[in-house]
Amino acid sequence: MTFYRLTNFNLNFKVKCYKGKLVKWIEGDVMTAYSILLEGEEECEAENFYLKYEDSVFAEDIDLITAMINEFLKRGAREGRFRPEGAVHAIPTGGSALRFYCVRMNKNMVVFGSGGVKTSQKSQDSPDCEPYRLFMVSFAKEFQRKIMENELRWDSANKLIEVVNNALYFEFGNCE
Amino acid sequence: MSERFKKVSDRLSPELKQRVSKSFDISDQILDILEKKRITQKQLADKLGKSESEVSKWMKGDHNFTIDTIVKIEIALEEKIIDTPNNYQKERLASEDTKDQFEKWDKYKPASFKTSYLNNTIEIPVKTAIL
Repeated sequence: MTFYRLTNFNLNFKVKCYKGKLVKWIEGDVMTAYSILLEGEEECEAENFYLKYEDSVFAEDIDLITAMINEFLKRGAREGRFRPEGAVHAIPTGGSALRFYCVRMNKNMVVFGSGGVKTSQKSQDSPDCEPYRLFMVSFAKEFQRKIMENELRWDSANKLIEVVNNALYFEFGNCE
Repeated sequence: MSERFKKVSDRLSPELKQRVSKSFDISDQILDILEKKRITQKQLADKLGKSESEVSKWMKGDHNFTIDTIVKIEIALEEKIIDTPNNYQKERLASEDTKDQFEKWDKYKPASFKTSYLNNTIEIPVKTAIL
């Protein structure tokens, strides 16, 4: 899985062009979690992250992440609850090196990507997690553009609504 | 609901769930007080002699607060952050006693006195007050 995921990126972590769809991942009373299902993949990015780490040596960190997400689902994703990682966020995991990247839109909506293990002081030097951070940075840029240009919005039940056709379909990264 | 997420949720120990939930309760309470009193995390950090980044870490929801830290924050914010059910009950009963006394007094009070339990004030018309 690791090799497969890493082939999506160049060695200098330059993000390629990605195509995928925003899908609902988990729904809570207050918060709804979305993720990205890339073209050609069977599972969304958040599922791939869980698949990779749920039974690994990071299982305890996955448990903590899961307990925190469950609280977000019940209470909402309050600003300041997340670990800032440049233009995106990660779920706090105490002192663990595992990073699970996301984009917090508001208290009621968070989009989860994937993540990896930070092995250096700067995430730029961590080959196992930096590609996923950059992936989310690219996604966030396109997501915010769609919101700003009113291609996509959400209703009171946190359901994403396509204002223009196929707005849930994304093309982001270096696509030119 | 993702089956995989549900599977991991189901295996969580009650201790972990309770610990994270309590940490969220405490940090929610602190954040609410900061908002209500318009105090920034930086100002709270200064009062506690801590760095802003440390206070920010406490608010994430995965911090294991010690009683020492909670007491310091309560003193800095001049407000209670956590309570025990026993203490809460005692304080509630004490406040009901006070309310009962007000109600008894309210029955026999001079007509010119107006009491309010809700905001704990007693309005006394100026003339009556002089008398």
